[in-house]
Amino acid sequence: MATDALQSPVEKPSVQASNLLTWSLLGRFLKWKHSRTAMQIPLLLLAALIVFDGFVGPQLAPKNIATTTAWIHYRGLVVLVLLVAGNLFCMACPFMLPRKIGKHLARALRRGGAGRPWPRWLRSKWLAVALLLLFFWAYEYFDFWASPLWTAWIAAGYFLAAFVIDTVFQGAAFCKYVCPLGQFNLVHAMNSPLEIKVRDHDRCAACQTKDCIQGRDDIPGCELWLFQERKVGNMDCTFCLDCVHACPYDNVGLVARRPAQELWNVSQTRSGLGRFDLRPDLAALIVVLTFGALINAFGMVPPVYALQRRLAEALGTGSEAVVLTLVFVTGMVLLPLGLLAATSALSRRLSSSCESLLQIGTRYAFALVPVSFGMWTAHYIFHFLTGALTIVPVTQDFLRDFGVSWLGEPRWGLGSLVPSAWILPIEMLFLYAGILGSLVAGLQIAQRRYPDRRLALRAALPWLVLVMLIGAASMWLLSQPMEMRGTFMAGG
Amino acid sequence: MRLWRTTGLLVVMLLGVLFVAGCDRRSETNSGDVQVDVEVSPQPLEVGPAQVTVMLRDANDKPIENAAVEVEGNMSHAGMVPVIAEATGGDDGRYVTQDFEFTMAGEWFIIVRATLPDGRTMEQTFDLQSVAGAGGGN
Repeated sequence: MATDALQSPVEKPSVQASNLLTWSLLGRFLKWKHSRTAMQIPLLLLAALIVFDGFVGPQLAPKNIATTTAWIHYRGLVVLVLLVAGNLFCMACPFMLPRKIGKHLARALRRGGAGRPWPRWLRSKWLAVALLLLFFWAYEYFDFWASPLWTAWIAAGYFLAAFVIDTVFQGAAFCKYVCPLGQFNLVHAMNSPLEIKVRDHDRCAACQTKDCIQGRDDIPGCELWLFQERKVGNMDCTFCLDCVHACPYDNVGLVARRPAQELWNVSQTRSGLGRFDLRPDLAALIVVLTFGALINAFGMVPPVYALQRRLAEALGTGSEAVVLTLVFVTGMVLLPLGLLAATSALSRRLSSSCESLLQIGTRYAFALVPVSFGMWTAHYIFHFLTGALTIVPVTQDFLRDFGVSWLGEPRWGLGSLVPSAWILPIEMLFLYAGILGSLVAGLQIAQRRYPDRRLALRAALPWLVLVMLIGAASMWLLSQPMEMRGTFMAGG
Repeated sequence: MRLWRTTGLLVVMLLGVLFVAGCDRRSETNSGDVQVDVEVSPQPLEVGPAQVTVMLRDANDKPIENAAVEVEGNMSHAGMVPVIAEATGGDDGRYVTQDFEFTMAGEWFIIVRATLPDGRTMEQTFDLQSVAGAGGGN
């Protein structure tokens, strides 16, 4: 337990203002022991509704609550929330509630004993990388966005996976090593303006109990093994607030910061993560998300259909799985590997470095996080802005089927949040911000590696060109007329 | 005590699953003795104005006249605003839309809703071929 000599830190007014936990109502709510559960319950009900309507509702995506909320609202809101705040969706994740029950159940059955440790050979992001690739492929092959049933199965599968994994294993193994949605949030939260961090490091140095990681009383310590004293940035932080509640000195805050700055110092040792530049698995996760943003959008524009047809003809196959796998292996594995290898080689040559290509590629891959986020945001915001209001008639229709008619007849004419002429400029705005963020990150990473500015610029130059190439490809994709297709091989 | 509480919650979740399994709100209805056919022109399908013709016939292959027919065009992706148009006419059981339009390229389906002269209602869904962008070429 805490020593009495330690008291709550006293911050300067400016620092205090940037700590959201000092704000009167919001701070009081977030410091409340059950605040996370209070946020999870509404999302749990929504997830239950998604599963319910996905299984029993009309199997027409635009008429079903499952497909409308999951593919239009969840995705649109998740990027907006990451952009203006932080990883609040992991904070309020409904999949964690049944998992909490599983933890209690397991503890009771084991008479208080701890669960199994997560296998050592799986303690990296490689499993998550493989699951993300599989998810992106399956998204296209099974047309998740067009299928309420698939959407319901995915949500149900998430509940089951989180429940089983976290019941059997210690800590938040599901969040840290498995959850593909979580990996998206964890990586892109590095662009967010809020971070859970220590308010006064001297206070931590004097602390004997380290409750933020050990836990105290009934409050767990960080289950993602991020020790606050040495925690840096948002990577792997689910904003669960356990450390905030566990710290007896009120020394952990939810603090405003400069977005994406945590990407600059990749050689810094971070609690629970180590050094970014020694984590090729993390770099691979970022690369998959970056090129996944391009491939995901490419799947919805006209040129992809011509490419598929040509590939199918050349291979003499009518199998969608074969053509899709070829497109994915090329677009998400071979192309990124080739581009990163070439860029690393050029960077090594220009900076006269003797590091391996893997070391160089791993270091600068972190510069891609902002442009990845920019492209995902642009894409998701398109769907959100064009279709956000469709939830109104879909809900009216749903309630009407259960005899609730006081909301009136479904107003099927509702759809777009803004005039259609605004959408492309808004998309481009997010993309430009992402490109700019990546250019700055690339330069900053190089400057921390090479104190000599000219050498740093030479080392960074190929990466800046790569960012511009990715940005140009994204702009081209966004400027294409989007087509809503249910099957990748359609349009013959 | 905690074990009981946890078990209780699991039972509630199981009951929820059983409740889901017992419900169905899929709305497609057709008594089976009405034959519905749909034609869309111009072909190939393209973004822009189009004409949907609905043909209604009874079990004896006799045209059904004097029905109220509504056509809804929608897309396979959620978040799209449907195109809803009334189909009028009815001579020879043929009902034609006046102001139907494909608003975006991609996969469309059509829902035909009809109130028959005897008061019965029916609804049937038809998948369409892919709609090409304006000017075709896709």
